[in-house]
Amino acid sequence: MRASALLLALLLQSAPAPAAIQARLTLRDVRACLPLRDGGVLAGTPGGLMRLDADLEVRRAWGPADGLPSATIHTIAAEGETRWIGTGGGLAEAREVGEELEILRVFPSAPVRAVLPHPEGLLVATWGGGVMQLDGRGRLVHLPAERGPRPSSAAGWTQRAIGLAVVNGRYFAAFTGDGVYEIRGGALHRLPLHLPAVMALVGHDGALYVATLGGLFRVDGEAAIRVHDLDARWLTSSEAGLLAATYGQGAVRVGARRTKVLLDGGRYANTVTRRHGVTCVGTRDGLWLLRDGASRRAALAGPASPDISAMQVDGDRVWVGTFDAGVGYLDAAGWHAVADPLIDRRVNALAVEKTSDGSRVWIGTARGLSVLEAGRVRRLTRADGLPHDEIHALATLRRGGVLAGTGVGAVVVRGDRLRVLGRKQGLPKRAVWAVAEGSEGGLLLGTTVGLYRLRGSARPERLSVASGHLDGDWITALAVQGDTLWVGTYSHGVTRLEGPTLAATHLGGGYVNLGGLLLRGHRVYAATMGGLKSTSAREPGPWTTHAGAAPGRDVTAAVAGGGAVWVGSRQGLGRL
Amino acid sequence: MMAHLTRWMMMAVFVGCSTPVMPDEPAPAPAEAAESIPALDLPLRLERGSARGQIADTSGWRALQPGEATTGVRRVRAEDGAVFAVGGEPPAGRLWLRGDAEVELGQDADGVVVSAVVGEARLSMFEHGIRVDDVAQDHRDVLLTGADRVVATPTAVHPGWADWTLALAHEPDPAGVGTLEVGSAADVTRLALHRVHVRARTTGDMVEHAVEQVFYNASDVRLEGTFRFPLPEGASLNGLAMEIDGRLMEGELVERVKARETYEAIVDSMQDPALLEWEQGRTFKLRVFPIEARSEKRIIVRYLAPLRRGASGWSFVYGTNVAESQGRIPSFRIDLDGRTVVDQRDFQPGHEVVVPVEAPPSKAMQERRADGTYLAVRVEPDWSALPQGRQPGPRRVVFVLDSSRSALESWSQAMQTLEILLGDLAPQDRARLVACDLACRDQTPDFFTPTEANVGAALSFAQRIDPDGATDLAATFAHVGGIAGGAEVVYIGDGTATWGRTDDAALRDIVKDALGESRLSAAVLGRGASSKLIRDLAAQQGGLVAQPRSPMQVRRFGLAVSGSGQRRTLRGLRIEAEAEAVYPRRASVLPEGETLVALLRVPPGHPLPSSVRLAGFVGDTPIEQTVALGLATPTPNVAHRWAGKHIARMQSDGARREEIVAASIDYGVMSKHTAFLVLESEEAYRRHGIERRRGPGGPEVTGGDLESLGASRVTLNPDRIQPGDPEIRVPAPADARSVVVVFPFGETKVAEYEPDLRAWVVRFLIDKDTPDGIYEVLVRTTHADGTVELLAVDYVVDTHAPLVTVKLRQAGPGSWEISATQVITRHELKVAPESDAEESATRRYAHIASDARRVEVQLPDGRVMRLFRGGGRFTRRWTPETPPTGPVSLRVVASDGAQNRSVATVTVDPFAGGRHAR
Repeated sequence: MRASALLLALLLQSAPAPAAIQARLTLRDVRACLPLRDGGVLAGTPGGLMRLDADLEVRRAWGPADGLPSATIHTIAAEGETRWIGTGGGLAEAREVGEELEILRVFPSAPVRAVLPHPEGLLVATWGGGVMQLDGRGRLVHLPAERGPRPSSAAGWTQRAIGLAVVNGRYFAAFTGDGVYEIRGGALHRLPLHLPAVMALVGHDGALYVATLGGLFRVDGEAAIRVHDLDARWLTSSEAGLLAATYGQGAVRVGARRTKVLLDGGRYANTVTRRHGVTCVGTRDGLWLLRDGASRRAALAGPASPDISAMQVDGDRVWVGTFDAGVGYLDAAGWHAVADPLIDRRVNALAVEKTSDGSRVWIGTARGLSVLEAGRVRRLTRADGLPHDEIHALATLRRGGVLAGTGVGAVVVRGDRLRVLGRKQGLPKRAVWAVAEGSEGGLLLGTTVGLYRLRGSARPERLSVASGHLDGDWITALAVQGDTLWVGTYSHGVTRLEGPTLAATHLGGGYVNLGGLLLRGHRVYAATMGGLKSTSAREPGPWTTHAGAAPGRDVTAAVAGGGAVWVGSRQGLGRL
Repeated sequence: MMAHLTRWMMMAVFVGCSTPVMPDEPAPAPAEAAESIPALDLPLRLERGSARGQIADTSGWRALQPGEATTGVRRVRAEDGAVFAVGGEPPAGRLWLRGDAEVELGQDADGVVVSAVVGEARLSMFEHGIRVDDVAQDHRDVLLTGADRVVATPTAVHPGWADWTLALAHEPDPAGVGTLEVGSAADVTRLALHRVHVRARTTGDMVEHAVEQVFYNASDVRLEGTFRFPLPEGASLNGLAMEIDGRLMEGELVERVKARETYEAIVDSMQDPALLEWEQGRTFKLRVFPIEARSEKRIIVRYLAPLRRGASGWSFVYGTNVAESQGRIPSFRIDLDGRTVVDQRDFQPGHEVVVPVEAPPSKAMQERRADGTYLAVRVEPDWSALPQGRQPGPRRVVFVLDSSRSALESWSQAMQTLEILLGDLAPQDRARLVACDLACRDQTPDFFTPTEANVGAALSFAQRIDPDGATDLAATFAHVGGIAGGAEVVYIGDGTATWGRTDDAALRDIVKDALGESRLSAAVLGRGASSKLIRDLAAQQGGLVAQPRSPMQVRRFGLAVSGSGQRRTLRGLRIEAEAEAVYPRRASVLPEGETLVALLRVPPGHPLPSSVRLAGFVGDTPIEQTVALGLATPTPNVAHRWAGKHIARMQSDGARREEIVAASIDYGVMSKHTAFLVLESEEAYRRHGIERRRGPGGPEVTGGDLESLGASRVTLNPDRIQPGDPEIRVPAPADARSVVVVFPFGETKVAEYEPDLRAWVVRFLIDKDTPDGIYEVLVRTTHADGTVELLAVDYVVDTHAPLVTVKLRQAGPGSWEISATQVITRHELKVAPESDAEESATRRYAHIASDARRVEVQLPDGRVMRLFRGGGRFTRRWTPETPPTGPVSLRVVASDGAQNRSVATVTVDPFAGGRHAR
């Protein structure tokens, strides 16, 4: 069994898995890589850091639970035996010990996009925090600009350092919205260059190269000369030449007159690094190693994007929808992408309806409601009678079919029949962000102006902040347990409404994501932007935060299945 | 090739604006200059505008009073534009100062000297003795810039650069501010204009405008109204949107008859359409229904207008001139390229807002469509290689007034034009007037000196004419040729021959024979005017042609004509290029100093031309030049500009209506056979069989309205983002190689093409911890041929809950009005952390903070009542079963568009005022 499949199998077992393993499921969007002496490679993704062996099998993985400041890895650099790991939460200094990586020190900061050794201390380019330098006392010190950031003609882009370079002993830093600076005397001195948004920087063959959105420039004195129209995102100087990871042309070697494509795989390359005679390329679609003219791709073990937007469990399958990279499912055999032109890649909600023939999987997307049944896909849109193409929420109904919240009102879909719930039912012309079926059979619709209860043909009842029932009017999640209704809101946590009087108890809990409430046993779980939280469903008390349940803090989904709680976040998958 | 993100200088200048942007004290003038030149001895009289002056023997500055003749002036500074007469009556000269401009004046033994200029000024020198320091005195009228060294440009060479002086001296044309009228023809009422928000974006040498205007129906009844919007000169309407049921709906260009029928059908069924049609000139008329009682109506007009070029460079100019008194506008804001350049409460319209911008990135701009590549090229001949012109000198002018029956309709305009053109004559000029229909009548037997009496006599002669008879242009020009003797000829009339020889070719020969070297210019007047023949004649004779529709335009024509003798003219101009269709296609005239924009279409697969060829005549000397284009910058709207010319040609060529309609709809260019129709929903468009063709004009961010995410055209406020999953939509061609979007939080996403939206779309998410501020998204489009285009779009993150003041007052017996008004506090006005432009960000923030959308009140009996928005506040009438006799407890929930919400229980004393609720 391949190592990645083995780890997936481990993950699918009931015993809690180490948080680090979660990172393996998002080995698709590789942001950084570093070839190792033994033929292996370190790879960084939004879900964590991995070590792959020479056969490109995942051997180890590390995340915040292992001491990294963040699961999102932006850059990996080697300085002697030291490994510098730039993450979304700061810098980590590490050392390889066999296959292990020992985290020595951590320096919290804004996201670290590049590092560069410097005689007076490591230079660190941060996204939002400018350029820092690691001083002799182990502190990250901000390097000031000779004169402050220029008036913001590109709002929001100053202080966003993206690259560092050294050329003939002169050090340079690049800011995406503010051009290139020379680092001299502990300060930044702006070069008088007119450049579009800068994306990367490198020194090569005694010249400074600047990758911008408008092409690749070589700095010649006080002039920047455009040498190619590449959209490069990372530049590496190597004995094999100037290498560029580009958006649109994969990895290329930039020649004086033309470029040579080294790898077109995925076309959209984030990073390229060459070391020990091996070139690694991290793309939006995986990791590649190039050696002696041949390329190999690491086995892919998870969704095309770590940004999980919805989950559902169907027996031994865990269905996973992503923010903008489609849908698929995990089972003991691994990850299975379900790609079909009738399924929009922007998934908002999932529901599994049990039928006499098996399961019917409903996929709510930004462009319609898709139904997957017996291997066939059909899609419903406004042309079929939906009130709106954007499906925000789904809930199965006890009598069969689903209730869908859309961009305008809601709709009940049973087989080929649609019943739109809108103005005729006394509902406002508003988006419905959360849906559920009440215990008595009524329908519950969450909007930005409160919760609507529909019972029979009666005029819907509105519960809101103004009516005293809720603490927030934008309803993002609903869960029903007998005559108790749990209401998740965008920014005002969870409210419990009990009994026929709907007595309200405001429980707080922060920002609840869409579809982010789960009742399991005697606990209620909330997928929030501050992590997965739970409290007693019988006697709610303070929320317990399940740190490390999934990579990152922004937990977007929680579902129960296989004796565990599966957790999705914007940075990957996990389980509790 | 690569488009550059436009940069600009952050300086707004108000021309004629009552709100000064100048510092308290003007900067001191160079000491050397102040000491070396004695103060002005002649009196200086402020004719228009407002200004301050520094007087000799006094150290300070003082305000100059209109009409007051002041002597001993050393320096003057305009507050928001000023016009001065220099000397007594009649004045020896006239001095114009643009807003914030300052000049230093002095007088020595040789006369009056202008020795330093800050900003822009214009000087007309009627008498010798007035001069500009160190500048040759070849011209009587010059435009001045420069502080260290005065730079003088003859006004005659660039009459267009003097537009601002015309606006200062005369009532400018209405522009920039619309009106919404209701009621019958006998009893028309204008609804109050509450807010104007102009979002402008430079694209090459043009500016895309989206002018949002919010009107308020203060009445208790639902109304139908007529919205009128005067477009500025050179502008082209390209979109219309209206808020319907809380959602902004984009209009669609529809064949005019169908649009009108659809509108009427919908009005009959009491739904929400709007219909925009051409009214006349540059004014468009929008029929709007319904305008709900005590509600606001939001209308957005989109158009393209050129950047202006002046003595000190390029600028964005926005006129706020209203035909009749509008009164102050409670909120007025202009954003240029994402930066707020004006943000005022109680704005007094009637002025121009001027913002200097950097020059357009290149002379050639291109836009790709599936049917070809469109080029816009700014063509300027190399005048240094062309024969020299005449030295400036007195003018001799024959004014030819069309007195035929067809001139009757525009007779008053003809009289006004004649008066203005006679008024432009200098004392040393000479003129004569002849009125012609079937025959000609000379006002005087010879040329006269343009004294006040002689000009008055000429006008009296004209006013006594009763226009009648046909127009015999052959006879007219034969007569004029006989009396002109080489003098220039200025024709005022409709230019249509109805008697005698009427074929164009014959008339061209007749005019050539009759006028010889005399230059012929023409002011073409009247609805039935034909400019084609007269343009051909003027091109042949090297003169200028205008179809003025306002006194302002006549004045501009007069300025150009009066200077045309002092500058060379390239006549009989032909533009040739390796392209399918080139506009202007007909021979035209290009005076020295002016730029001609050529519009070309190149078929798919054909290489873009590297140059255009100019051919024509300077005097009688044939010339031919090749003008290299350089790299063409990808620029939006080039196809739209080309289509505007193309459709105009189709109309003048008498193309079939169906063809004109098809082209109009295809390119989104309004014609006389199409109209913009706004319906309440996408479904309504489908129901009426109207295809949605109009894609977004630039990259846009959805998410301004949580309730419309994912709709086909949802931008409500493109710069305003709520939590949720907004989308970036980039209207790049379907065959583009890629569209890559870089977000300010460091992520890059690859957009995918959605045929239904005709745009590349990418979805993104704004983290809840994102600090409030202004953010910019960068977009790189790689086109099918490998060219790269860069664009940017802003959005704003706002997390502050609105603060409102609640009041309760008795509105009638047993009836009470609950009102809530949003309060802007320092908290809301805190500077966006992302921006370094503190002041700009604060202004921008103020708008965000003042955008509460919904206020609900829980009444003492438990019921929840939503207050209605309108007039800058939220109100609703409450009729309780038991009228309050003292303080009332209300639970108030206020939320803004970004779902930020404040909740408070407040006790309101209906007899004493209100409480704040947060």
